Amino acid sequence: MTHENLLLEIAIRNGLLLDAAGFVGLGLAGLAAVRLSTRHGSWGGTMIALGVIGLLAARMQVFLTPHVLTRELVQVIGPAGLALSFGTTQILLCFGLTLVVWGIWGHHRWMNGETKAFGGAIRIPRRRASGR
Amino acid sequence: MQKFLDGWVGWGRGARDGQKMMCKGSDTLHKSSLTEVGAEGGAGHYANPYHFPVAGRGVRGFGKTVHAMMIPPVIGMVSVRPVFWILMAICLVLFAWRLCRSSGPWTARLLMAGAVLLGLGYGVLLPLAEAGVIRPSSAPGATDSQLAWQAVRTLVMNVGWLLLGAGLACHARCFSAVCQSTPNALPPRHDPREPAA
Repeated sequence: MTHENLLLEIAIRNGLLLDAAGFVGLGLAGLAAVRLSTRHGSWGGTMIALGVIGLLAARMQVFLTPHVLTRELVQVIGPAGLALSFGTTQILLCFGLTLVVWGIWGHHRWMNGETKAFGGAIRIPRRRASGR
Repeated sequence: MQKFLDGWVGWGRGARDGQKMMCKGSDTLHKSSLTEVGAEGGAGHYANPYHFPVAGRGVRGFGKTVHAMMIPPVIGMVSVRPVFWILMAICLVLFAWRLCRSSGPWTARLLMAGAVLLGLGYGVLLPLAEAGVIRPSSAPGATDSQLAWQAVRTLVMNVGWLLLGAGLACHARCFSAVCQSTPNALPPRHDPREPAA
């Protein structure tokens, strides 16, 4: 089976364009989360930002592992390090998604005045923005 | 990817092979050499769920048996993870729907498009790939079906994150300096910690 379609080669087999789209989207989500948390003082925004950081770290690990984890390094770190490497990616993916979803929920609740920051344990100073 | 597969079989895009190696409670993982992978037609790491990225049999000093104790306990719950993804997908769509009610029309469209795409990806495609119903692969020997599923999965996940991120950025008004939308009809901002005036 020959692939002569350039778009197929670039977009799907190498995955460059779509992976870049995913990175850009996660970066936008992180930017929005930081802005939400600083503007409204919402803890949901902070959780979204943490989740986005986790997802980005997992993506970076997935993309960098083929270049970093060579055969020699595998012999050095052994099976435990290998399992740890797989496990770190999985933990980052799962927890990142959880934090993003939980943060969206928390931000909505925060904007409706249904929660306080960390159960009211801390008080985030309000930052007054000029206009809406 | 091919260079990678040469010495390191079994780490797929999205890292779902790492969990394949831990399923079915097998203590002794599959000991396969690279020739067996080639015999499976290039996509052997999807066909063989126990494929563990151990280099050939001649590698000295690297045990081919990975004991279950070495795997972190949270990762061991392999059968729980698709359920978890499905729950997260449903929650994501619901919470994005709630968030849309306090945002403008195009922001709501971006958010919902991203959330629905991500919900499809996390709620349908990833569990199906986990169950082995679909086998997305972009390995050099992949069939048309595998390639198409790979295209669908990559497209859905990445474009979903792009749209959701753009929607969140519009919701947070990150682009308000560039494109100021029409004066919106939203109520003024209200700090829940202060009593209503």
